[in-house]
Amino acid sequence: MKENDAIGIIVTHGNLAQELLNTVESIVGKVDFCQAISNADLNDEALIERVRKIIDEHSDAYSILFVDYFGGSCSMNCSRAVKGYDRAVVISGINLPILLDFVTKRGTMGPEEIIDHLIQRGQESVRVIDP
Amino acid sequence: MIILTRIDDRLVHAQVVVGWGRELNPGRIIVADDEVASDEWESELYMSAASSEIRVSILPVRGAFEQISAGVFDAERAILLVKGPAEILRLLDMGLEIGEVNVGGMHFRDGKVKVLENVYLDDGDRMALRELVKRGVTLEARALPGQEKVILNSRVV
Repeated sequence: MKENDAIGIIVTHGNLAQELLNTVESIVGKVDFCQAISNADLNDEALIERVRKIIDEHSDAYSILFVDYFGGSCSMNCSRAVKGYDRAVVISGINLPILLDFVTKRGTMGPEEIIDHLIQRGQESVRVIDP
Repeated sequence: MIILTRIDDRLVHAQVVVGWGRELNPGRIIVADDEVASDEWESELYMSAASSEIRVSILPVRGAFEQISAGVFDAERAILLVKGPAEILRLLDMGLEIGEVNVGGMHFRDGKVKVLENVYLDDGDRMALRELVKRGVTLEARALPGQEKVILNSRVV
């Protein structure tokens, strides 16, 4: 892995994470640096453990955790999971544009820069369409 | 005024803030938990999880009892949250009156057996719940207000 490389861990309620990843892959093809996790079958401790295991297995890369809802249990447990890690961060309120930009622009900029970009992209894509 | 007393090992999270929040319109959530109250980082995390219309008090169990019985929350619609039946038992022992408890989330952990989709119990949980039943508490299990209430009382004795 190159120094700028980042992996994605999508953590959501229900099947949203897997479906978001399926949808991303239906647009750009197979993605091997993202994983999807649901909170449905995992208690808090198990979810934190699963996330940390992935971060540890990719300690040469930056880990970006994508969660669906700020203040939900996924965002709470991901906050706990990255506590103490310098190279892991949580982005909440994810949408498809954020994930697509992560997948397609990863590696073209450094971790801090891509995080700023993803937040901006996500916010800009929420708009009223009133033709 | 306590409008809902709930057992939920996730404490403040989307089901409570959004799911119950839109049904009950609470002005406050009281978390009664010794461990969380003594941990500043965890307390801040839970406080950040509520919406801006809901104030959050994170208190040790004794502190929650004292503030509730002193009438601190009488003018508000408050949801009281605890992680498990043991905290309810302690509140009853201190003298708080609790007639009904919503068993909202007791999630799977090693050694716990599934009773309902949102309720997994081990022997210790059963014993504590049984004690609550003995003291006249109604245990109604459901994750969200729109779901059917399942009365657990006969299932834990």
